[in-house]
Amino acid sequence: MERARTAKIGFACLLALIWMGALLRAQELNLEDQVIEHTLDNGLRILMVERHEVPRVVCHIYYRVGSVNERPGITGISHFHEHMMFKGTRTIGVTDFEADDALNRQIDSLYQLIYREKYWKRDGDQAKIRQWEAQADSLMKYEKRYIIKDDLWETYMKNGGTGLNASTGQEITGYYVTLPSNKVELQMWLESDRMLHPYFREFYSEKEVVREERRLSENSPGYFFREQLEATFWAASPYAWSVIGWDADLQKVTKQDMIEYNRRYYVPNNAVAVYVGDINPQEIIALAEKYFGRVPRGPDPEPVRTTEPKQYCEKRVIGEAEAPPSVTIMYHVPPAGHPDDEVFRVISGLMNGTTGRLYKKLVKEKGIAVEASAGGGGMMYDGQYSFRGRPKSEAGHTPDELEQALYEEIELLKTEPVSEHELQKVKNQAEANFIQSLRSTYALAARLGRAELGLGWRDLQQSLQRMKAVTADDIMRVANTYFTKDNRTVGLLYRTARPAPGKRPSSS
Amino acid sequence: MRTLPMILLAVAVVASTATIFAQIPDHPRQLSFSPLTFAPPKAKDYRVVLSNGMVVYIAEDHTLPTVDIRATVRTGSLYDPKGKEGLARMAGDVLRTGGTKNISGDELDERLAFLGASIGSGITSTSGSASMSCLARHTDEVLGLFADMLMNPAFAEDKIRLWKDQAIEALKTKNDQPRAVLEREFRKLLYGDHPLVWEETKTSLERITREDLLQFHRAYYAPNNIILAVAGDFQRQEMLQKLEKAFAGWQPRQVKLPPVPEIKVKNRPGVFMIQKQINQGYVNVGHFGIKDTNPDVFAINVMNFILGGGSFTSRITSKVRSDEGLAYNTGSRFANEHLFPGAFYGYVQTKSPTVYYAISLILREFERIRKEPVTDQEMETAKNYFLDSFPDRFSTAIGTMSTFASLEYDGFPLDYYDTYCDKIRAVTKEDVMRVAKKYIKPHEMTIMVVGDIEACRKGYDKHPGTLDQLGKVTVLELKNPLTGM
Repeated sequence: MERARTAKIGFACLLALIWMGALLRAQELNLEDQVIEHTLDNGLRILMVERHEVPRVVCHIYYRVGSVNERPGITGISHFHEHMMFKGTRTIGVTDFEADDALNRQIDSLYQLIYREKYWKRDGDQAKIRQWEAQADSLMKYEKRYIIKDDLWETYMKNGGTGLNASTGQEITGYYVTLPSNKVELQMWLESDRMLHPYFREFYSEKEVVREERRLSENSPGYFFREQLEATFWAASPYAWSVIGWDADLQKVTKQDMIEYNRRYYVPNNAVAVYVGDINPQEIIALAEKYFGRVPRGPDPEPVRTTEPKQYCEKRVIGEAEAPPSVTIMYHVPPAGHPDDEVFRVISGLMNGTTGRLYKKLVKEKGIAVEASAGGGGMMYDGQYSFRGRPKSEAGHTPDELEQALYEEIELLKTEPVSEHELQKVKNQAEANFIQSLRSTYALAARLGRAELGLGWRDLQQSLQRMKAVTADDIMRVANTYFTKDNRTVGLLYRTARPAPGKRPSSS
Repeated sequence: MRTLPMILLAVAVVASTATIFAQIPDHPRQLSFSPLTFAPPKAKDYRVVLSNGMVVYIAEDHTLPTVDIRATVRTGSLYDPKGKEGLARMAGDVLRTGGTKNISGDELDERLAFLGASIGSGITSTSGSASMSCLARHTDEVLGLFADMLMNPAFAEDKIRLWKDQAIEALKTKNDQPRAVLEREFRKLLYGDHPLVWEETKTSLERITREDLLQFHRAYYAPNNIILAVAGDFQRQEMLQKLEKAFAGWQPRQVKLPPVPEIKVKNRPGVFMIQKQINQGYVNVGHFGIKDTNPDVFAINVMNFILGGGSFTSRITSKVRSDEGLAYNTGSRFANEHLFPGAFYGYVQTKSPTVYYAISLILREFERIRKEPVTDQEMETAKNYFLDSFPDRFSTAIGTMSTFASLEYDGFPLDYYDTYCDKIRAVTKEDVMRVAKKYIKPHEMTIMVVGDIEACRKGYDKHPGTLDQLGKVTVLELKNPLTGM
């Protein structure tokens, strides 16, 4: 038995590969023929793709929730929640749940007092705060006897889990692990447990980890400027704040906020589980029914209500930082699924890469930029399309000069039809990129899962077909419709004037 | 098409669900898994030498209608002459952008873009690389362009100028990222005056001429100095013939690598600081590690996984991040370099007041792993991780071929992976303590902190202590990256 299995999955067995390859080619890379889908009674979607090169399975689970679902006061909570999901559940990460829970209730009530005193009052009693904090600290020290440190992570790793991580975006949160093909049941156990029995242990220390993560971002050159620029661009939409959230909100967010947020969004009917690799789809479905099937369906979460209102005048943000000078020109565009969305993808193709218009004109020909790019398009609720560039400052070129040069390129889009050859080049590249993107099992799982929670996984291929239909006229029409002065926000970043670095040799 | 099997499947599922609900174990410990064995592919089965001496690792892979080729060239910026720092990097990049004797760089770009294909080239400190990727139906044309680039680069003057302008612009940003400053300056402390850490300046870049690049190419780019990894949708014999044809006329010749100054391993204990107005201290704490040819490498990998390499399961992450909430990033690394001893270091980025406390916790873990035996559970987790995730490195054909190519490049035996798992299995708790004692020297640590010096130095009242307690504090000054002065 074992030998036979080895021979089948062994990479060296070229015959098997050739046979499978011939099968795939006959299907002409139609995703439709490769993806197997299944929906549980509780609404959880399961997507599967067989890939038998090695005995490994990429297991991802995605929830339709991200910073766009937050509101002022709890910004950053989706990402913080992602962290909390690694701190254990009612079953994982704890030796005696009842005892641990009793301690957590005490700690939480102390922090309720602390937060009220600290954040609800103008002049809170500092002595009281210190006293409660000391009490909470000693309870948390005592709690350690019940905690099994990073139990979930260790369980995955000692079973050969790689690619182990999670990520939170504006609209989607994902949890990832790649396991040996005989251990997919472990992922089913642990992920259905996280869905069924969440418990937010070590909430207050993990909050500090998240705040350290935010500090890391803040220390990346130009971070505050970019954050301000986004906040300025969006007037009403929750895309205005970053996924990490505002630090003031992170400080104040409570355990109760977390519990309510979890109940609303982390339900099977708001999620998709994806398995790509050496799987037997029937076995996967049976396991999913067994493990995820036990999680009750939740109320369907209401989509975000706000739609970004029309912008009636140009906005400009000017800043300085210890960072390369730059220009960003942002425009509001429609959400994903709008017929114009593929036109923006074609425009990005025209603009980017070493044969793209921006590099050819601004970097090679005029020599005023070190880099320039364009990108964006529809998102789940609204859209944003940007042109960006960095001036060649050593040669005296400025962000202002580059801004004007970018407008010239935008103007060309509005007035001159794109040549057939240029259009075809962009479409050829898109097709080749699509095929290449299916190579990595990890990337395939990620694309399928994310697309499924957006416009549905079939849209990956349909969008490519729609893109192939874009014409030169479409580009001119779309450029004239959206790339207008009143619809834009411009960000100009200059390098901080500061003393030149010391001339003295290093004192080491 | 799919209807019939799906109906059968549904029946099977309904029939089985009724009985399995009760069987969910209370804890994942109680799960049992069917056995799984995996025999890694053997490098020698894929190795071919072309008539011009070029070594090729080749595998058919029909999962997608694409072809990938990656070349490794025995060269590196390690061989840059003093005063012309940047030569190898420039040669590696302009090899691609500068076109060939037969096609200009711009025309090459346009043609590849139209085909949706790509060709790349670059050089790091210890090796050169070139690659191509295309749809299988364009193999002949793209392979022709790829071979032409390797054999006949033009190094056009305008593309040299473009490269220099961009490189000089990039120099201006070299001190912006605290992490980049930390890694660079830490390596400089370790390696001293050595080509591994020599830095490009505006002057060194401007000094490099087209003739230098041509000469560089003549010195290192020969078929017998290149290893190819090839995989994709082709018939093996046919592809080998294509390769013979593409590189026909390229004669093998003797390639002499210039001598590289030896690194005299000498640790430099103390605290070194660089001022940056930021809200965290970026910290490395460590000293010289090992070459990857060191026979202790397996024991060291297991030891470091437990110490700080195994993300959340490791002691440093568990303590500094998970327990104390002091950092998002923390852990330890053995950077096992090939020609030289790499660095061993613990790392953390934490808000300025907790820099001292975080470092002291890391140092405590350095001491502990040398003195206390690791637990059975830690050993089990570490070894299982290495063993169970082993097949990952063979998950794509081109990745596997590249893995074999790097074995050959570094002079490892071709059956290296046949014995890999056994070597991991053989590591004992005693080995772990022995290598910890031998390779970790808590009292010889170079501690480097990039951050707001005063705030980082003094610590905070909850865990009092200052950086001065960890050793003599030396403040280093950041140099002007354009001039190096």
